[in-house]
Amino acid sequence: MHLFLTYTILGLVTGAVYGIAASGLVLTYTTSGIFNFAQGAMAMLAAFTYWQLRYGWNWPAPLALFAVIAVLAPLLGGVLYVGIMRGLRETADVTKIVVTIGIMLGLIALAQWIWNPGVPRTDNLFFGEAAKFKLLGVYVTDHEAIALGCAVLIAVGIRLLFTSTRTGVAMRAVVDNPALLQLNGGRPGRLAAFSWALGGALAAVAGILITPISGGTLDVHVLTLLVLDSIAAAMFGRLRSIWRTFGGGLVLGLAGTYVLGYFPSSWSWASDFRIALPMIVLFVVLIVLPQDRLRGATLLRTRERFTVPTMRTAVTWGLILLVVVLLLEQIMGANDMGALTIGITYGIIALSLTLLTGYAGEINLAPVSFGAIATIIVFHLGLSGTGLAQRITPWGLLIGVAVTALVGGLIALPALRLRGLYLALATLAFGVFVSDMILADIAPHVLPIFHLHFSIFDEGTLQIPPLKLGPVDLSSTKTFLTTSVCVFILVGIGLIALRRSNYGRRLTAMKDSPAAAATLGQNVVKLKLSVFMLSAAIAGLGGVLLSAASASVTANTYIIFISLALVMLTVVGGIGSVAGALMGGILAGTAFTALTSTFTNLSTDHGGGGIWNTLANLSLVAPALVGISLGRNPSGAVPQIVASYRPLWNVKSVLALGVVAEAVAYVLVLTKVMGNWWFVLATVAVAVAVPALGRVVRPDAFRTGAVTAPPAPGRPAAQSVAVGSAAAVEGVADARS
Amino acid sequence: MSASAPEPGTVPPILELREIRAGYGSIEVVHGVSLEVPTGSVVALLGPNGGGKTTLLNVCAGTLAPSGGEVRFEGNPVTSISADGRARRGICTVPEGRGVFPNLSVRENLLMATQVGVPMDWIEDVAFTQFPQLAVRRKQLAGTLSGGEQQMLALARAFATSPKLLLLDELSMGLAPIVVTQLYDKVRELAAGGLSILLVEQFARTALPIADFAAVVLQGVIAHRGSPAEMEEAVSASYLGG
Repeated sequence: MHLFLTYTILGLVTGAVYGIAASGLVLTYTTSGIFNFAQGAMAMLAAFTYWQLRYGWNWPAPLALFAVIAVLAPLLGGVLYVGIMRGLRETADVTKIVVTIGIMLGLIALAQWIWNPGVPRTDNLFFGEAAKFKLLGVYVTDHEAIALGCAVLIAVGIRLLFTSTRTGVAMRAVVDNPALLQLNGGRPGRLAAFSWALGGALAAVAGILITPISGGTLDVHVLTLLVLDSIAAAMFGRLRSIWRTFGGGLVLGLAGTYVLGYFPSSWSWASDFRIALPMIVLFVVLIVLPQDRLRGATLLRTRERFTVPTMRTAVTWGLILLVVVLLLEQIMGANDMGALTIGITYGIIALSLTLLTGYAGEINLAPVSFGAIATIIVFHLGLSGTGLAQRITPWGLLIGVAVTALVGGLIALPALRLRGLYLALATLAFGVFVSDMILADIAPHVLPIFHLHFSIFDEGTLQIPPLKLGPVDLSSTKTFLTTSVCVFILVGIGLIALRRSNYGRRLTAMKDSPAAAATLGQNVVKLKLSVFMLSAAIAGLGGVLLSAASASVTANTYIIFISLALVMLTVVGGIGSVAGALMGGILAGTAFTALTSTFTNLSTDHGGGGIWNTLANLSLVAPALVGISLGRNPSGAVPQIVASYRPLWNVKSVLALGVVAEAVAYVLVLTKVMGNWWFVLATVAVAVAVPALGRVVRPDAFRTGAVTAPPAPGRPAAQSVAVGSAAAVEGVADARS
Repeated sequence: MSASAPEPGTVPPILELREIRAGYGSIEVVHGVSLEVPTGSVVALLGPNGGGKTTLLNVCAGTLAPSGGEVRFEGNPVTSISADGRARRGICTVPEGRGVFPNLSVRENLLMATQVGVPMDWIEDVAFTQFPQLAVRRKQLAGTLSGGEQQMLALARAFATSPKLLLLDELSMGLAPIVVTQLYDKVRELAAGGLSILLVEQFARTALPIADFAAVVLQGVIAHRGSPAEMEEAVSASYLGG
């Protein structure tokens, strides 16, 4: 009984903190329609800032608390809304999700920049360990009592705000009809900014309370994920009800401590299960609880525009890419080639997103986790030989990809009725689950009945040998790079062919309006399931290549943040195009890593610190900054780049000049006159100079439609007609319901 | 032009549209419309579907920015003022469909009307006196009211906030004829009290009896304008495509 009470109190306290964080999520979502993935990171940043003020600069606790909770955190929330979120109106779900993910990754990078992760920091309980009192025979620390008190106050306070104040009622009115609120003299923008400020404060309260309870050590990732767990609580309240959100928080907290307390210690997976529990609950809640209609689900027009290239264009660009990589291989060192290979394999994983999100409109936030599944299967079933001669067999690869497709189907099956944000959250839950339970499963097991000894992720590190496809042995870095580029090109061209086929048109119809697609006699369930499986298979293929390219993989190779960064950068590149996937993959796998390591090396060469160190840190924050900029150009960078180059076809002389300049630079590198970095700089210079020069030589060619990507002249997009009619049908369907 | 304006020349028109052009995206729906609502009068915008009546009203309310032209309220340009700013200046809009917040209670809906600066006590007092039915349902969610009651709630706001100008969009939409008659009786009451009203209506016979002045909007321009009596003929002709 004594033990039970102890666990109950601990569970209630944890649950209370979940509730506080989740209520912030609900608040911002209801008033602005944006689900703030950065809530956890905001809590983390607040906890670090509090630590800095309280222990770094020895401020008195009340002052530090006031500064963080009442000033800095609301300021951050408000600035985020005014600076970024406001610009996201009329964008697709995936864009909104990706922007807040960008902020999350940015805040993580920022925190690691300011507070060196190598230095341990701990936060103490309020009033210290000794401050505790006895309740029903068990000790309760003052800190725990404060946490519970805060939760009760906040729950009651929010409830009162929503029902008894005009501002609160107006916040609910915004959900119903922002335009009507304006006609009543209300200001929806101001309300949303206020709710973001409030959300920031709640995140701060949660972050500061939870740190000492969960051991006191400040860790950027752990803290961010801890509050990310509160999403499950928010889903209990269906992103609306504050009471049920807090109730969900308590359920989560209690379940976690009871698992910790009562699962037999012989179950080696129990502690992993406890960590993964919130995400398992999130997945189950999403599937079991009927969800509200998503806001913006009836959005007929979004600002994203994608065009599909013809097969000829696709094949031509595929060949150009191959030639470029073959040429680059002549001048690159083995390390650089390895880095590029990683980028290309990320690109293959990103292609799974092009299919799933770009074509079919569904969201997967954990593509790399599918890669992890495929890797594990291949490691256990698909290897031949031993030692250095060990290789992945083609059959092994095939089995891995097939199993991943099945797993994708299994994940999608219950999630079939989920759309947009809810599906995104379900995949997020899956991704974290894979990291927390499957990849963390490092102890050996004995299979009952068969007495088979096995371990899923042996010792936490797997050595993945290269692939051998018949005569092609990928043990050489160069062959590996060429092969992965070929795989990328083949999958990419295959996707474009798929998009242009009947199947692809059906996917687009489903993306635009599942209701209309269903009324036209399509089996949406089958369509969704098949595209999810296909996408998982592609992610699996890319994942195995990624693992083989990395040679030695750990759970960190597939951590959810990697997935999130890849999703974000792919959307930045352009989620609707194969080139966008390539750009996303290379940015995620090669470019920023290369920049960071270069700057770090330069910094170390110059005795540490200084401008190079700043640049290294800046390049860590850079991906997030790029992601945040999406609000301005939700279609991605590739369409924009294409649009800025297209008029050059009419200015062939300038184009030729650019090609010649690039060729000269290449020859200079080949003859070792110039270093590789100079080549990169020269390429960037040429890429910038060519459109600029074209603009000077033939200003008239650039005048029309140079800003947004216009449909190719003389080729009116047949899809847009189909899209338009689908939208019209949806309008009818909506009017009926 | 301003045929039925009382005391022309002395009081500026409460609302004046000058060469308004407006549309959605690249499609222009309204092609240069000029119109005045003389202070204290009721102007009816008539015409078939898709003519641009609602677009014009949205430009007046501030929910749609015109691509050209100017909107003047009480003699001052308000073209660049947002919808909420215009609401606080005294333009009350009852939009097309149901102008209520379905997930807010009747009372909370009325609370939202206080954002233009009228105290809640006053609003409740006026609303529940004018529409006793609403008093019974004050704690009920607006979304669960009948269509007629929802429009009453929307009109109650117009009564209670004593605006300077009332914009009414398709009050009759989707309602039983008897309810429409009741609602228009209320509008007539408001008009008799001296409120300036610009209303949009597809059913000319519903709107014309209370109007001082009417205009038929056809394909984005004003095809006919004049007194209600003159309009009777023009209206039937335009609906039949004449």
